[in-house]
Amino acid sequence: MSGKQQIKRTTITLENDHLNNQYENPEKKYLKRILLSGLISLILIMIIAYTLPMTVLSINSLLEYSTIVALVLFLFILLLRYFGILAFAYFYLNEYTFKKLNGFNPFISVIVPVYNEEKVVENSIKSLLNLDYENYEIIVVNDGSTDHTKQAIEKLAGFHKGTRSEVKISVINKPNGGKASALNAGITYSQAEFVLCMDGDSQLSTDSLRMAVRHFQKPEIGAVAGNVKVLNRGKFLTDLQSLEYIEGLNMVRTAQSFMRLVNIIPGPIGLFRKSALEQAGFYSSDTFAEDADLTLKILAKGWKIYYEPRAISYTEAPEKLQQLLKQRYRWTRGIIQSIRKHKKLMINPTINLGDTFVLWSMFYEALIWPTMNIAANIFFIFAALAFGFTSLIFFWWAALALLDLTTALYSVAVEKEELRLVAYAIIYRMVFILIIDICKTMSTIEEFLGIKMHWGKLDRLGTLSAQ
Amino acid sequence: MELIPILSTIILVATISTFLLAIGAYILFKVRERRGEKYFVQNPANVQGELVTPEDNLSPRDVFKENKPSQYPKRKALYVEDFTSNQKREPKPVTPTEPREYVTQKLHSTLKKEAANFESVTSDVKADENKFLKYTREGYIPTSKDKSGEELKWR
Repeated sequence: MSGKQQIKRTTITLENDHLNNQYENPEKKYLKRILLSGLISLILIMIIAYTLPMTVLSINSLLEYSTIVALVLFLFILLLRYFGILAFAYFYLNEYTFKKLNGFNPFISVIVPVYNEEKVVENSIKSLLNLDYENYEIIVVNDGSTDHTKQAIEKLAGFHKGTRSEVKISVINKPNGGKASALNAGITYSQAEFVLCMDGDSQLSTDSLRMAVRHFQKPEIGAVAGNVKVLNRGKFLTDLQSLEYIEGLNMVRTAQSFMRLVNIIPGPIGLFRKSALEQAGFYSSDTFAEDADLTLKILAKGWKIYYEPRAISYTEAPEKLQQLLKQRYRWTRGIIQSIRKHKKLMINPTINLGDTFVLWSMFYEALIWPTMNIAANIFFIFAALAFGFTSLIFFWWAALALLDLTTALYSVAVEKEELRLVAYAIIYRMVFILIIDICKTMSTIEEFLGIKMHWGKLDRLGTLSAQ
Repeated sequence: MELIPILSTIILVATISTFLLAIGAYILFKVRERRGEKYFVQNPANVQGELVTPEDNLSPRDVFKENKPSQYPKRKALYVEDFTSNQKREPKPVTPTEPREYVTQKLHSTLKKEAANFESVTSDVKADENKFLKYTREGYIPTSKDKSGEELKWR
């Protein structure tokens, strides 16, 4: 970092007009709806029970038949989903490998919102100064931190030597208003045509900007999603999350990018065309997944979203189970809130077919898929305990483990990641995904019951650097 | 010794344990969340903030100009490349029978589109655009509006 520079402080007024009202979560608001649907279900069951003797099926055979059908359907959907993702990801990589893009170096503002990140913010800014790009500035937005984050970032304000040029670092201190308002403050202050939004605890790889920005030469591209990787590996839980990010998140984004319909631009790294942000109405505070909400808004305006695997952001993953559940709880409820906010597009495919497809796929991944996974596991446990069919659960696990191993091997090879992560694929679905799916299902139930939700803060260690 | 029954038992026990662990951890998470600190997000219409910038408060455009010597040649090359690639994409080649004003207008509109994408380039872009406009007493005018008759529009 450079020596002392003359710093100027200016009082500014930040407008929040573009932020919607706080999402309301009145408790038990939907209890009547739940009770009514439960009553209707009960009536349907009574009708089935009354009419069943009139058919050739007995209750036992009906249960067996429906269970077999449900399992076959589940397997079919599972295979379709996996091979569909792999196929699209393969097509995207083919296209990506052979496509040549000319150099494109517009001015970019890197917006870094921080809240109580005193341990990690310096490493994040250092990684930004090491970017292999010559035309950018850094805007750090302090969202009313209560620790020494303000002092830490004000020391960084000024001109600093970057890899290719001088980089200006500006700081905006504002009262606490949430991540969305912090990002909006930085975006509004920026005069650049392109903005990169990241998390205050993330570290970018050196060629992130250069790789991501070149896609904006196509006028239809409104945003580019980056590749998020786990920085703090080496522990059981973080290694499983590393595999999840590579296989579950990045591979899916790769497949979506083939259709230019990436459904979530990750918070740790997202590059946006400012005009697309303006059309979408910037970040909103009415959901707890502002990144998902913004992505859906951009897609709804007709913009396309690409994925750049070489624009990498390293982030700290939760190391304890409680922290992991907190994170996934927020993600699940935030995504469901975003889907509900855009639900009109789900039933109107003529407005934007791509957006409708994205919403339905998000609905499936958030609600249906976890429930199916849990139901299948419960069935095999029941079959083993009640009827002694223990070998069924072995074959079920073996089949899924084989599928996960194949996918993990492919994903790790494509991303040139650590081969040791493939071994985790054996227990990935049975242990890790089951925990996550249970958390997702419980979160979904809470969301539909309208139980209040609050922002939390994950504890950061700040002991690692991506460089 | 049969391996499958043993492995089946292990997997069964692991799955049941995972279920119990997940439900227990979730309940614990909810209990801790209710006890823990809560952050309420408030969004007033306007908030006062503080901007901390270096004293030499160059705008991004000025910063860009600082780097102009390394940036400018690249941008010019991009213009030339794009124009060349645009020409290659055009099925109709420019023939001597095409009126010169059509050629200049096509060039002008192509460059104008590219200039719109590079808003941060200031006078350099305008200088390029002005190359294909005729300067008169009224200022720069497109060649189509030039009323100087049949003579050559530009050289």
